[in-house]
Amino acid sequence: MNNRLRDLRAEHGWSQADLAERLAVSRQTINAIETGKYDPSLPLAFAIAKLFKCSIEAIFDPQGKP
Amino acid sequence: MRAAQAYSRVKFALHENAMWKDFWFAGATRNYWVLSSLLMLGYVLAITLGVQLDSGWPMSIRVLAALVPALLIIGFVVLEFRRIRNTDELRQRMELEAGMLTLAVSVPLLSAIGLLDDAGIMEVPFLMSVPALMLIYIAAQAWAHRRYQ
Repeated sequence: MNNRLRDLRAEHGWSQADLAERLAVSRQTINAIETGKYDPSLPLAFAIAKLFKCSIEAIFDPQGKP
Repeated sequence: MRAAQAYSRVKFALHENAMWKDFWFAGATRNYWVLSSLLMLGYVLAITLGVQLDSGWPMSIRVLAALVPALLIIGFVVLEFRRIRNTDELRQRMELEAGMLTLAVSVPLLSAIGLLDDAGIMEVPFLMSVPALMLIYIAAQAWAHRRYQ
């Protein structure tokens, strides 16, 4: 699944570790999501959307490929 | 100078956010380290003492000596289960994949070795199955880790 997580993180000036800490997950999880190797669970996707104050669809694109 | 460098490396490796902790021991708390060390020590002692018991000992003691290592392994499994529950969703998926791969590799492998042992072709001590399982599990974890890197 394609996503804009890396761009959104960069806009906020956060490192992967910063974002991981805010979402209470590991840095590896953030990296795996950004590279499209792992699709987050629904609760984590909602947490990401809430953190960036946008909808899930605005971050994740189920049609796109990484 | 070398001592200072070595100290610095050790300090870095033991740092709270060290990468190897994220890999091998994600979710491990201080209690985990204490209890797992005690269980490991108990397992080694139980195996060592159990092997030395001959038929002169009462049956109840021999049965107990044979069962204690299994109980300690169950304790270790419970501890691992609790550690994995403390990790995040990706790590849990990796543990699941590593566990499934371990099962897929170890069951046929250990069955084949057991059958070869029964046929008298090769002699493998039963106690070797636990370290063999651990090695397969570590290799499976490394594979699962690489998949999501």
